[in-house]
Amino acid sequence: MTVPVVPEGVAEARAVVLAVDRALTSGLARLAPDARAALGELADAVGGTPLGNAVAEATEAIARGELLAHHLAAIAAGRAAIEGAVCDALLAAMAVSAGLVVEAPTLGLPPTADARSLTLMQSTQQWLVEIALAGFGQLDRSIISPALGALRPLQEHAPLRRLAALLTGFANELADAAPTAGNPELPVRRWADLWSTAMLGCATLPAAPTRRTTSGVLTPLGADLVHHDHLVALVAHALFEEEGQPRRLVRITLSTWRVDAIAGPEVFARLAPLAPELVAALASPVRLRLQGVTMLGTGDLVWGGAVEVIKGAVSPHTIDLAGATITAPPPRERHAVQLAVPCVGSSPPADLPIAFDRTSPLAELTEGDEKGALGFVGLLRHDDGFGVQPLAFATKKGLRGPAEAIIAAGKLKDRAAAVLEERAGRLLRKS
Amino acid sequence: MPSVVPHRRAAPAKRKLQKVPYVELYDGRLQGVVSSSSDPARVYVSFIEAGTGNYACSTNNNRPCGGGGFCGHIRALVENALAQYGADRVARYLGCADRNIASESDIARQLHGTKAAHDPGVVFARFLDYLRTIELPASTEPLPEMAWFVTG
Repeated sequence: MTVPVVPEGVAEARAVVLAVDRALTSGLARLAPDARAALGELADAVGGTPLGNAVAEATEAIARGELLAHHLAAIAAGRAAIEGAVCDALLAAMAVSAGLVVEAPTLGLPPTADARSLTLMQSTQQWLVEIALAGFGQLDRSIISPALGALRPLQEHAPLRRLAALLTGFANELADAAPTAGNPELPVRRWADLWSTAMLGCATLPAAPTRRTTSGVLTPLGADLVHHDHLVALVAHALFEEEGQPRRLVRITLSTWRVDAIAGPEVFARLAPLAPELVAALASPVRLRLQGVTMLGTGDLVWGGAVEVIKGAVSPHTIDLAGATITAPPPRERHAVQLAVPCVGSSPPADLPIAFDRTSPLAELTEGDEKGALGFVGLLRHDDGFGVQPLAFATKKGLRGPAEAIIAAGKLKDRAAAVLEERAGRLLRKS
Repeated sequence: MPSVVPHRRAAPAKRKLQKVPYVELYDGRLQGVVSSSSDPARVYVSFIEAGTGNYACSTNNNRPCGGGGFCGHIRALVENALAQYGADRVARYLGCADRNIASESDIARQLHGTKAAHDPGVVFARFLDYLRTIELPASTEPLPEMAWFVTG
């Protein structure tokens, strides 16, 4: 793998976004001249695209003090379009350096939202509007509390699971940081990203990817753990070979809601039962023959069907990924944070920083683990520059990564949950 | 260029779940449920209000705790909050100026509240609701939104 080159125009595009973020921080209800200019620049940047008119109208309306949800949604869409263009350019550069072929995702039309979804999306959007009017720099608990109280209905409504996962993390993060006034170190760009993503999530349901049932051979490469206090997900990265199709890099996601008291290995005990053969194959790498598994147009496999272990250990860090296909994020997810390009080798590329901060503390990988490792599995990422997030290191004693801990946790009973429920039962009785 | 990835937080330290089954920084309070040390069948509901430091502790049917002041239950609550959330997060949430926190007493000495009216039902209801999170269904469908989170 060669070191990717940052494409032209990325810095300029992000400067436009940063100015919008400053406007969102000071609040759209009181628009200072520089914030007004920032929105104007956003309108110019997307002028001539299908979004051009909507963003220009929104900018003028906001300047007049008309602060309607659809105006703010247009600003979110304009901002997301710029991040999307950056994402496309970065992915192209990453694919060149990794020797991969990028394919476009295949999607159906967005599903029609049911009445309950629409109601929940509208009330969530109203809260996001209030956040933007107040500004990230002026948030106190009174503005965030209603959102925390409204999370449960979102979480319980299956069609909105993705929006609920995002909002639960975002609202809790804001609550944790409140009051924000006078804090010079707010993660403004991150919040503006989360805000725009949530705004768009409230506008329409995401387009459903195409689904087909298929069979093939899966070679697991490594697992990434992503989580906030209320949800944890394992994203397995793998190579999938099926007849009549290119060799393709795929992801498999296992996710479960949790409470923060359920931490450490007990988190894994909730994930492993969703795909025990996959988790075992990540810990002691073997290839799996899958039959009747569902392949999505986004390059995701949905676990299911028949699984057969192909005898013989494999070393993920020696798998040749060159020439494989990787699927670009669908339009709604075009953001650099979604780019995770598997890379393997005897060591991480020497000229790229190792992004340990992208790796979950639950994976128990720490700085220094790369020294003396025989092999390496990671994800090429871009945040403020390119870097490689480690997923696992091959050592003389075997693979160091999260999968072993997950296997060990398989023997744990779901203990914390049982203690909590017993104690809650005590409260229900009179004492 | 500012980062979109949050600084990852240290994993929570081991908590005494049997002693403090529920602790949360929620709605302007550090609140929770604490098991009685003498009677395994009894549990106390306690909170400290952020900012004012006002506090309350009683059984769930509002029989007041006999401990008085910052009772053992509230101290156990703070101790377990420190394990769960880390000293800095708890001190910041409660509005403690001195963030140099080694134990629960470093929090307690910075709070000068008085005993507040108690509504144990509200805290208890939140505990039950919090527990319901565990019962939400797991999934094997993609969840790209989680790419934003590596915390907790």
